Amino acid sequence: MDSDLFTYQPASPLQASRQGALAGTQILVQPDLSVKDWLTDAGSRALAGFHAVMDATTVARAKTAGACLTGSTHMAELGLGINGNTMAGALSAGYGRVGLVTDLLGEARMSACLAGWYGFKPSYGLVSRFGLVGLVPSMECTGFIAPNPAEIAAALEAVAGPDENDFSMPAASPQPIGPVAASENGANRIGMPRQIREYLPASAIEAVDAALGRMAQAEFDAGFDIQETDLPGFDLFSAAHQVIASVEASSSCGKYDGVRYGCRAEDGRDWNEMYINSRSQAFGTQIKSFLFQGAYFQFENYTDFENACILRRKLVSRLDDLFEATPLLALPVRLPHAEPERAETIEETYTAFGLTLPANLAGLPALCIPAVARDGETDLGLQLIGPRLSDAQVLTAGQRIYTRIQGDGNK
Amino acid sequence: MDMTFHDRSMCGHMGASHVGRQVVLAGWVDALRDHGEVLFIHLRDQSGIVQVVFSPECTEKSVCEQAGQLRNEFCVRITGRVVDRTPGTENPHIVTGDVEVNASDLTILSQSETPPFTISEKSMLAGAPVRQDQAVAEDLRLQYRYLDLRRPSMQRQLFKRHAIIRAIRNFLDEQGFIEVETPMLTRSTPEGARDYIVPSRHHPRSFYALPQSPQLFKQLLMVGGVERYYQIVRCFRDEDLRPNRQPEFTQLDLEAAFIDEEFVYRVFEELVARMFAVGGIDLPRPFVRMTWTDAMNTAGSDRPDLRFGMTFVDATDIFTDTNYAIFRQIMERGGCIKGINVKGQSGNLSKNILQNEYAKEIVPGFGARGMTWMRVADAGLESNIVQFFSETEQKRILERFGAETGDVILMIADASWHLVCTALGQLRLHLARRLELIPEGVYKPLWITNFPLFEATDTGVTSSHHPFTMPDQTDFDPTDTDALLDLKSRAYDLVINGEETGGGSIRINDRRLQDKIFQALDLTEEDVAEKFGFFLQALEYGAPPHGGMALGLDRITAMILSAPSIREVIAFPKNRSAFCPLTQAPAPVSREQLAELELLDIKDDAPLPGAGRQKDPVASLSWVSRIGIEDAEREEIRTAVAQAKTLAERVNREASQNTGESAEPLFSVLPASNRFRPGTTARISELSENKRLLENAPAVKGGYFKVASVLGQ
Repeated sequence: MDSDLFTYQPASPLQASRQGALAGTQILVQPDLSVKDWLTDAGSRALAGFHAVMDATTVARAKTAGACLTGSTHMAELGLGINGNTMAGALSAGYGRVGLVTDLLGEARMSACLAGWYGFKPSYGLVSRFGLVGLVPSMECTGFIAPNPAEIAAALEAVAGPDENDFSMPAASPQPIGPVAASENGANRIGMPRQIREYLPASAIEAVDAALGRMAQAEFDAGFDIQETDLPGFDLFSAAHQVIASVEASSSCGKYDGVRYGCRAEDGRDWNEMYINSRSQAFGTQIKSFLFQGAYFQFENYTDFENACILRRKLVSRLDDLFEATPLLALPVRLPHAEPERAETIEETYTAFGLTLPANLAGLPALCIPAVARDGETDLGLQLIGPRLSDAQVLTAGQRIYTRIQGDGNK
Repeated sequence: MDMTFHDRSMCGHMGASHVGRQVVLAGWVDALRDHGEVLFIHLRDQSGIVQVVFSPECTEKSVCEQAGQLRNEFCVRITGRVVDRTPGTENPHIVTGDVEVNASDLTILSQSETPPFTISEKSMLAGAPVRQDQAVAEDLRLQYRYLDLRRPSMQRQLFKRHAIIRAIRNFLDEQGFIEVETPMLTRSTPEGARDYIVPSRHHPRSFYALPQSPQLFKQLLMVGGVERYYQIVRCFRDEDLRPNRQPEFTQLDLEAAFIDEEFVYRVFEELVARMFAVGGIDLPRPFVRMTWTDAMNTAGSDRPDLRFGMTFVDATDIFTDTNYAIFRQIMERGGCIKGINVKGQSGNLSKNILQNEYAKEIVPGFGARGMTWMRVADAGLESNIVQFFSETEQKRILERFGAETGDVILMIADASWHLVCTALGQLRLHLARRLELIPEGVYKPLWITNFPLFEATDTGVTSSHHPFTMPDQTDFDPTDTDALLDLKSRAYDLVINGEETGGGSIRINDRRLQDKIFQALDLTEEDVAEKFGFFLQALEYGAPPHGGMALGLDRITAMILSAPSIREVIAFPKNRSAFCPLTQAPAPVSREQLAELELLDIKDDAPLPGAGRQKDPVASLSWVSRIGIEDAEREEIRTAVAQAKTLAERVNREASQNTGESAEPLFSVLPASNRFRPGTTARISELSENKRLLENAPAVKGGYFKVASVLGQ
């Protein structure tokens, strides 16, 4: 086992079926997604030594579709951010064709961007979270990394859809995917919020404008109509996300009691001490800080949490209005100066994911397109974001761009 | 002819003498048995249960149809004729089982929803088993206490409790005691627990306290010339939670003037005997008397359980010159060695149990460093350390403990006499319970006397009971701590089967002696005046010698009725968390109420002890979220919490801005549409059945997750 990259690597790849839509596709997961008998510690001592007792729904469905599971790669503790995340490296090293990365701040898109691959966060509620360790239930979603949108669509198609074990999913959700055709064409309007410009240095704005310009140009032949749009209070997404996510994390981490799984502190004369000491050892400092922030809102200022949810509604409805005019929204994935893979505090992590987390707060599908928006050496990545459940349209648009880029390169 | 309640008969009284008579009954439907044409019901009232029959033969069709609507716990009035049951259909489970009532008329007085748990306790069929108490969650019972009280077993508890209290009143009335009520709204008394406090609207920011006991008032009654007082009184103590403790409880409180200990013993032995007689229990008399020192020396407790043996044997002198290093060190430090003989139990106490369970785990939990164990075999003593004992020592152990083959001798040695006694006392109880040596239905009351008057503290002494207890001698030096600790008090406790059921003392009635006690307690005159100046003043006006006692009625009633907890003998108790599931008390009050009491924004200049630490937001968050913090990460976490506050200010500002948008919080972009899935039924997870859920647990014992105990040692 390459322990620099892997938390768990089976002796031979796990393949349950040789037939199906994903027949033979090598898939990498992270150890927050249950694969029966695999070490599933979500990168945390809170689950030290935990071996999953059953498959997550996504895993079971991928196996049924013929996929071949090659291992689980290291991840940031409980999936917050990508510090320590080795998915990009394992994909680049050829260990898998598709990577599944839980996306609660933008982790899947960011990992894809770093690997130069396509990364996708589906609409909230489209993919079952049953068997996912999870941290922020109302935001997180299994994301996909693959060399092109068509392969993402195929994997999504195989695992998406209602799951009676996931109580947060509607009993019947639409099946919007279907094969993403490269040939599909049509004029799409893409909007870019002007407020982003306050966020980015001049060189980054140039890079994004250039990328969007290419898409609009006839010579690029993608036929997109680029417009500047208005999204007031763009910086509030991060604040609302952090308040809500920290509360949800504080709440969902209550289960790490050191009784049913995870680490148990040796000392502790009574129940309370057992909890306090075990949980002191269970969490790393960054997650612990996050949980304390959540506990502060949860126990001492619950109205802050409610206000953040009010803000969430306002922001979601602003996005809805925006999609009336332009069915797709474009944003870079990363800030040129931020280093998400090295972020060590909550503040650094939230700063690094400031451009990806709006899609999580609003539950929207978002695709990271690599290698079109370069600021010098840095690939900023370009996100295409659509209304909820427009996953197929977003991936189709992405596949068109992918095809043009490939064609471009072949010229 | 329409009968009314004036002619009502009681269900439980129906019998052969009623046969042929027309009766009116009223009560609740306890159970139903529908045989198509014929409907049987058990009708229950306070007196008992009788079977009522609705059949086409003796009941009009319209009444039969109406009876078809009956469900459990409907409240009904029934007119009918009492008849003998057909031979062979008698029901031995109910007193009235030889007769039944053929209904001729039925009035549904009140319908009932389906009760949340079964109330009926009597089977309708002769052969069927009598229904046992189902395992109904206690909080559910307490939430629907009015239904729980309908159960015959609960009715019995309340009746018996009433009978016990009536026996008390009758006896004390015979003895010339009068019942006097003392205030519920009073000020803090020095009982030592926390007070429940009640804010005053007329005296803003001043508080009454609910009484922990009527201690000072009953002494004032003595000064007031009420020579024989008693009261069945509610007391309130805000103590830490214990499974069998209630924040409010009932006491028999008694005080008399011109009496001594013998008077108290005489009155209470007769009184307690009469109380137990209500439960059909004959207490052995006279009650044994034991000094506190003897109790500690023989059973290691100030409330010894004398229903079984295993009293202590002192072995200190055997080891005066021992070569066994551990004992020798203890002897050099002036320690003592005591032991018990567990007669004939070596078959149940293997080496493994003695060494790995008792010596390594259980006894250290009692505070002792270790335990020495020896099994008595034909060839002599068997133990892991017996080779360190000389032959003389071994022989003297066998003699001293009266050891025979099959016995197990356990010894605890320590430099502290007190520790040896208490640890060995807990071990004695532990073994008695484990080996089932405690006989059922046996009651051993005893008086414990001659308690130490004071206990040592870090800085001096504190009262063992309360500062008004009379010492056994009055010519002591209040500044000599060692002499103070040797003083005994004229206090007494009544202990039954290892439970303290009551206690009291002869009180100080001399102001000068009382001052000496305060001096010994190192209380300043200001402290004393502030706390009980009003009481001390009363002592200056010819206070008579007096004394008294209080008895815990809830506990003693539970004991008499063999109830598993005191909540079973209280009509509306709080649960184990001092919460009332029925009324949901305690509950928040409105800001208006607090404003009226001027309790909003109370600010006091004097900082509370430990307030500085409490104010550290990170420390309180660490407690509520049960996450400990390492020193190295404290600063980062503080920064994060401070950042969270800044963030919240921004969020609150934006959320409260009226932007014409909806201000309804959005908790999830997806409405929770199907939490409840119709058509699915609860099932036991396969992972639970095949125990796979236990595989990832850090500690498992006997098929369960193993955790630390809820309360610390």
